[in-house]
Amino acid sequence: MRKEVIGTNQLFAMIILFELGTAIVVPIGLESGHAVWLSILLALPGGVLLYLVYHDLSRQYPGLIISGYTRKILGRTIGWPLSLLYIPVFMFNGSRNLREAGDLLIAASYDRTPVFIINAIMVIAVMYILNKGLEVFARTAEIYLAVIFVLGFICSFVVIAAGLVDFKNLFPLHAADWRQAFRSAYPNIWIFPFGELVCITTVLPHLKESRLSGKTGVGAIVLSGILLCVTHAIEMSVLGEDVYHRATFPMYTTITLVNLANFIQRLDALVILTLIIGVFFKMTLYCYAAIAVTADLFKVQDTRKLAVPVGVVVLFSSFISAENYPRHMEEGGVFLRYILPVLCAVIPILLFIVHRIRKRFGLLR
Amino acid sequence: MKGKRLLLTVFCMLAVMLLTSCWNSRELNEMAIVTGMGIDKAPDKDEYRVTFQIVNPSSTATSMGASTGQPTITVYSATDRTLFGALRKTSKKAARQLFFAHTQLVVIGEDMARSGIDDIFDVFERSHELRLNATVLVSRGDDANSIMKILLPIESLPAMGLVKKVRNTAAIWGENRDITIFELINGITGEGEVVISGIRVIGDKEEGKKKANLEQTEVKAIPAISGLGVFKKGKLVTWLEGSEAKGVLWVQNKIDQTTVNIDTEGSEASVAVDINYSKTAINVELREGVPVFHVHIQEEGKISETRGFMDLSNGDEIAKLEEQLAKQTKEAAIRSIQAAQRLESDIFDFGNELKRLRPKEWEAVKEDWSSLFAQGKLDVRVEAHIRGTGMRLKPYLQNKDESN
Amino acid sequence: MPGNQDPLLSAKLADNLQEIRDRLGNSPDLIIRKFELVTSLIEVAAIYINGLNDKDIVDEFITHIMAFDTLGGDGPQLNSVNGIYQFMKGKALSTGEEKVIRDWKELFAALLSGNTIVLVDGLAEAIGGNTSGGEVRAVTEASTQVAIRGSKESFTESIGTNLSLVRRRIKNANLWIETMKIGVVTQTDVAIMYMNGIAKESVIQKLKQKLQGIHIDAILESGYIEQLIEENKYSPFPTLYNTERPDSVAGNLMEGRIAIFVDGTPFVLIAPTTFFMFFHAVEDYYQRYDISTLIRLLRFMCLIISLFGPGLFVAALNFHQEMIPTPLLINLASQREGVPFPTFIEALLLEVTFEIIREAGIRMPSPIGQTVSIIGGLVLGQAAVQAGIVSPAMVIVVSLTGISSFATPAFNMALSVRILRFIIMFIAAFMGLYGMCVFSFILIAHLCSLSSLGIPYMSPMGPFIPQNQQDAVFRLPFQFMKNRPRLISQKKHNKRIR
Repeated sequence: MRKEVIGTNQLFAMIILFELGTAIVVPIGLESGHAVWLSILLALPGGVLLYLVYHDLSRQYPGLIISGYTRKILGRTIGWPLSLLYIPVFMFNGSRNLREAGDLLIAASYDRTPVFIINAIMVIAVMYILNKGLEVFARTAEIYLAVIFVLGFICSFVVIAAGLVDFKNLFPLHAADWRQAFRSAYPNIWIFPFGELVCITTVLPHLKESRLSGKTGVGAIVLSGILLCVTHAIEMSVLGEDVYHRATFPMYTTITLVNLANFIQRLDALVILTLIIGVFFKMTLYCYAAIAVTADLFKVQDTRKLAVPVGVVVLFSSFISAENYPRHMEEGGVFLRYILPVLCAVIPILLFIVHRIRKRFGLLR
Repeated sequence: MKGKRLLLTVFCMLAVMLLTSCWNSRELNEMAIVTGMGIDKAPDKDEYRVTFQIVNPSSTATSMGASTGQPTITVYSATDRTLFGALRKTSKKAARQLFFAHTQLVVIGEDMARSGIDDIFDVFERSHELRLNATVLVSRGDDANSIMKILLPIESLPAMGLVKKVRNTAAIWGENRDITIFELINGITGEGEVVISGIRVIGDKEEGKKKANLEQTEVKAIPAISGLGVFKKGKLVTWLEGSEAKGVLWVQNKIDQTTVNIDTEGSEASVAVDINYSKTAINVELREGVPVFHVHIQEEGKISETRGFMDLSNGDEIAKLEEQLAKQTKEAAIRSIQAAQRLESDIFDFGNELKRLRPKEWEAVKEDWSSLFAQGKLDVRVEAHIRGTGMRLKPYLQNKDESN
Repeated sequence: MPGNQDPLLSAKLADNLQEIRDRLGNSPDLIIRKFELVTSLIEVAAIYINGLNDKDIVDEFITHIMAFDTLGGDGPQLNSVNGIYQFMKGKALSTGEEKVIRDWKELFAALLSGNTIVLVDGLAEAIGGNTSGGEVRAVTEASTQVAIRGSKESFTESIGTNLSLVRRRIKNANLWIETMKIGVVTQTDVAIMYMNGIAKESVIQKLKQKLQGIHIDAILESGYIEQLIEENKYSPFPTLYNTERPDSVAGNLMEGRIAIFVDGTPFVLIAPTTFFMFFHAVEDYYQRYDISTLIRLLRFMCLIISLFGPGLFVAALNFHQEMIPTPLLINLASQREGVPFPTFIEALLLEVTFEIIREAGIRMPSPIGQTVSIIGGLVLGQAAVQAGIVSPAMVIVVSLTGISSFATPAFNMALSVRILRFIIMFIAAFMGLYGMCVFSFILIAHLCSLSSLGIPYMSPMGPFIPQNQQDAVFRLPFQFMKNRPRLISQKKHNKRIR
């Protein structure tokens, strides 16, 4: 089978869509008060560094995904089970995204539709695209990047034009705010959404010009960080700290307040569209990562065959994992605090250090 | 092989579609569009009485079929412990399911307002149908129910007509303002208090319900926006009128356009100035434990009318008028702040401002802010500019001193 | 030709003639003219099919043969059969295209494509002279892709004319043409034309392979070839472009694409095709760039309307009533008050009616076609609204959709959009906007997965090629259009402007 190749533009689009994903719609960094936008900016350098670690590792081991070089670096006995950990985590994270989208849809509009149907429809689309392969996924991402930009532009334009933005809600920043911002930036925002990029390591080997992956990736992360920062700053400035923190989906609430000339109002559909697009790509990338790691560990030749099983697992775990949304958020907190940092940051950094040490002392075979 | 799979997928999708009903699908003619809601206290019970104003689509002006002769709206009401319960209970009376996404107006009865409104807005936040940007009014001296029933001339949908009234007067007269549920919630959760515009029916309420009432040039009952209700701890305490109300909006930086009649040497309130730009900056600081409120108003306007002779081609004259305008604005602002201080109700969000700018100092005073607010010192500065005199400089009236 | 089991011609003229008659079933349009050469008295027969040839050329050809040995009379061996044959072959014939035929298969192929065959008694070989001609339609104005400005010529049913129409526009030695016969029974002439040095070698090879791989009895139109060589047979989208405008073919050749001409149809295929080509009209290049760009954007808007229009309306009315501004909603509600059908059924009813009117109008002679559309569109629509069976807003939406679908310059793309519109309507009635949104993921992923001769269908958007953006959605001024499509053409990127 021909090796699938993607271009730098496509990687760029995938990273941005993945980063914006759910992070643009759900509230992040709740501890940081009104300085949430600041904590996103503070977390950005950390995210870039983390990406550079991923980038460096896949440059050192061309053609290998994370499970591949984990085994190379730590040896088969440690590396294999460690890599195995990634599969359920990727799938669980994908299912969490699906859950969030489904819950917003149900809360916002489809209150009488079973969550199973809503999620199943999304998963069908994910399975279809995974079945078509990475190239098709990457091309679709490029096209939807333009769509997201247009949506984002329209949304921010109407919010600003409606005169809802009040900078009083963002400033001033006192010393305490900086401390809080920093505390919520590390590790929370650093891991979600920046650290989650660990699954892009399964895509990096497919890049046509792998030497450009560093530049492209960093560019994409910085841009998405700035976009996130601006979006959350707008949300915060419109809603104020209190409502922002109580809202399940602040962006949705923000857009419902728009009333331009008594005619342009209730643009909620745009936000829902943004969320669906974001979640769709994020989830697809998670599923792809899970498939890639599985295929690598269990030596599956035709990765496309795994699309359906992974999709089904993600679908069911999306609504079995938590009985209601508050529980889901609680789980998310635990997951974000104890599990994700290990897989997204600790293991890759460990790999990086071990690799450097072995290289320095010539221990590489 | 590939085609087979595709066909299978399409078949499955179709099967799913046919086998399942369309859960959220609702036809337009199966629902009743609610444009306005009135919330009252039920008599003798701790319950809400909620009144819904529902559009009667077949008799709105846009309908092209034969008009049924019914009024454009119809009103239902229901009583329940929760608002949502009342919404649903209405189904006993209404043939169609109520649809709330287009509710533009919420009127709160005065009794309800006096007994506290803090707890009624949760359903508006939680529900995806109800809008947070619906306008809120308090029915003055009356219950919300009777406001909801009155038909308006020109505007076929009374709720939308009332919203337009508030917006209209807020935009050009400036004694009231269009307050939305969202702002109220922010006010309730913040450190200050809220104000809500009042509405009062002038004339015969019973006549106002009839369609026949509209078939004359002067209707027998007309709702008019009246006064600004000041709340304290979520309860309506008093109404501010006239220049006090205007002063409140001035300090709150909500004046869009307004008119001030300023005094001249000779006569009282004889020059009308049309204010078309106004901006207010506030700042709060604590001096020796007592708050000082700095209010800085910048306003610009043009002269629209003068009742006597005045040499408006003379820059010095204009400067005098500017001074007078600033003085009157300042008086209005001070009067309104003092009125609020008497009520110990921080409707200007000075508390929020202190908290935002000086969080540490706020921590120390937040416990007894209301009384500190009442003792607060005022520092009001007004910069007034008159930018034009309209199409004429001097008026056609002769200067009496010269002609004699 | 390998595997040719057909026996060689016999040396006796009478046997050969009998064989020809037998094989053609004594067809009356087979004309055999037997005569003896003037001096050497050798029997010669000229055979042709009536109607496939240009009468004048045939007559001239036969006269030539009859009289050729009187001309010079100095030929060395004019008395022997072989000598005559050699002379005939080498000197005397003047039609320009002759070939020597040795077996029956070749003979029939030549005969049936308009050649005149000369058989000489005593020789087991024949001479075929190209005299083809006969009745063909004249070059007329294009009927499908009409342009206000630009060439008024369009292709005809004759492949020779068609090739020459393009050749006249590109006077360059690098305009290469290759021909082949496809169709086991019909033996249709198919020619591929490309610019040598611009078109990619690999793409040409791939196309040739595909064409040679076709095994079918009949090729009656280029549509046969289109369906047989496209890679994604189950996709609703066309992956080959067709045109009847020579200027469009010339323009595409210059971008490195390949044109496939099929004898018997004025529609020429162009490959590789991208999605955006279907929304380009030749006129875009003849008008100023600003107008062209805006018109292109308008076409894409029309595409979106014709795809999603009724679906969006159904979704908004059934699921997302909160999205509609209040005055509009009340207006719509008052219109729908008396309508007895659910919105979706109403939309479906009107859409199907519209499709019926369209189909009925197309097949009718044009005066009746107009009557059909007037009765169908105006009378039926008006009456349905007045009877309260459908709401006026729905009529507006459906007619807007219909008109928008006509704004797509390529008819085959408009057809695919028609099918998808119904699917989208179903989904909208089932899941509202969410369903439509997820369906559009599938749709776009599907579009991205398509390819035409190995070239991604959605290029230059997915994959995104920045240097080719000048001529996809936008049409920039010519000084910016320096690059040929990167995936399609060879590496000589400079184009048009140097």
